[in-house]
Amino acid sequence: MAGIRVSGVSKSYLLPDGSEREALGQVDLTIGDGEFVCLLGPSGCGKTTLLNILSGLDSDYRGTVRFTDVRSGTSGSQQSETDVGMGGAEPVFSYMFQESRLLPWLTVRENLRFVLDDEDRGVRGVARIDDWLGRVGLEGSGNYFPSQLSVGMQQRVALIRSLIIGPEILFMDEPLSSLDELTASRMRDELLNLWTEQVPTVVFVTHNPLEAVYLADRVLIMSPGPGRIIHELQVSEELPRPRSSEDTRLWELSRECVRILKGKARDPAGSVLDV
Amino acid sequence: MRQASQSKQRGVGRRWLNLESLSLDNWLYRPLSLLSILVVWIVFSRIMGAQVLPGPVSTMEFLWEQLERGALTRHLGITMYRVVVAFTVAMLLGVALGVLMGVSRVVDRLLEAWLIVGLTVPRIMLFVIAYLLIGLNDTSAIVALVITVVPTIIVQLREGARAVDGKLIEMAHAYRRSNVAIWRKVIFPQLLPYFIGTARGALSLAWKMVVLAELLGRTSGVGYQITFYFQMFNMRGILAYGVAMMLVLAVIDLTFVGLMQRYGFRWRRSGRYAA
Repeated sequence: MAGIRVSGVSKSYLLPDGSEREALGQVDLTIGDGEFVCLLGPSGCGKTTLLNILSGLDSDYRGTVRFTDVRSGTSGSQQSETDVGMGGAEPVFSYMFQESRLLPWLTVRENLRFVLDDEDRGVRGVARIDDWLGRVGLEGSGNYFPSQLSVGMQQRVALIRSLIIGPEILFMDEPLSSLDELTASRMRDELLNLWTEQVPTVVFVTHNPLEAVYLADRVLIMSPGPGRIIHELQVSEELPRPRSSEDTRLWELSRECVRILKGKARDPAGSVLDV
Repeated sequence: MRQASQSKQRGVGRRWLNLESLSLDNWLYRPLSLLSILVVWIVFSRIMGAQVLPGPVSTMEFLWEQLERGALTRHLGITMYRVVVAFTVAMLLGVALGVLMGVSRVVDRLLEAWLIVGLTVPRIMLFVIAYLLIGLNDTSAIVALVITVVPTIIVQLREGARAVDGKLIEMAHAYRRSNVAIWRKVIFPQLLPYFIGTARGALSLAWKMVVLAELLGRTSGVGYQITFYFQMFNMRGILAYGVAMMLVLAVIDLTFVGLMQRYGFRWRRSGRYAA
């Protein structure tokens, strides 16, 4: 299992006219092992940029990202730190995107096999795939192609693809935002159930405040221009798990998020927030 | 079930023609089309006289004679050899350059002028120049054929490489898949339909152009036979070798269509099974 320690991370893009645009400015952040963290903010505030830096997809940034490896210490007190992209020492990552990003020419089963390492692909691998399909109600659809499934079912396959490798850190980039609310709320509960079995560290990006406070232990509110974390909201104390989506405290916390986001909207930067 | 949905789609597309009202079975249309060609040929042969335009029966007799004498197989064999060599070289070259140009902007810019020249130069000029520069031999025929075919292969594979979905590659990177796995499971399947489609076009283009090459500067092959019979004013000979070329090309083409349906698009065709 692993936690994340981010210090002084910033990123800027070079614009065609030669000037630089700061996408991310000075992010400091510590995420504990097994913690469920939501990054909440309007579109274009650098949430996905930060996620791509943390997951190693983007290596062009300033600052440091370190992973605390709790497994290697016998008592749990010993902690070793590794840089992202260091190869063997890296924790097991997985990533769920807004679109399912399944390979259309592979069946559901082959898609799941694709992310398994060679030693996990034998008979045990097949049993594991079937087991995971069953857990999200997709038993019997292993031989279908993704195009034969509804968007919701495709996203369920993407969800178990992200969990089947036993990730230590799970990155999620608005994975439910392209679904209808009914399917999305059902999948939120499925995600929480599956998360409590493995308890990987989760970094979940969303622009939906209600979703953020329902899922997270801690909500980090981000603001654009350049993207930075402007507020931290500890949810786990106010809302112990399991939570109910009917809970009125959920709405209060969500409204608080919106207030903070809107407060920042009157910033001299003048950016309009779409929350 | 799949069969049923396909014929249903076909029905919708062609409703304005109302072919369904004709009570002929589906499989009869193709032989009917072929038969109409024969009928037109026979009619014109009767109008113009068998000496000027021999009919199909007399042409087939001549073809059979040539086969028995061994001339047909010898000339067809030589022509086929030239096409296969030129096609193989052109595919290797064209696929490599096309993919490279699709992936790299720099290579694309560097080769753009060459490509435009290759696409616009009159084909017949290529053969004349090759014969003058290299000599009246097979090498120049094959070189000119390769130059004729390569540009169209490049254009199509460049298109294919540009259409490769970067999001899927990003997904594979996020799951730390090896480059070999990414090429085999993510990139290659996207290029395959372009590859088969291009091969089909390139082969039929080479097959048509080789006749020109032989007509201009070779003393063997189908193209040479056609010039020979042209100089003798022997229409039977010209038609017989023409028909032989067409038959071979038709067989090649149908093979490619079969390949395409089997491998290229299997995952695209399957209908939906759940909402």
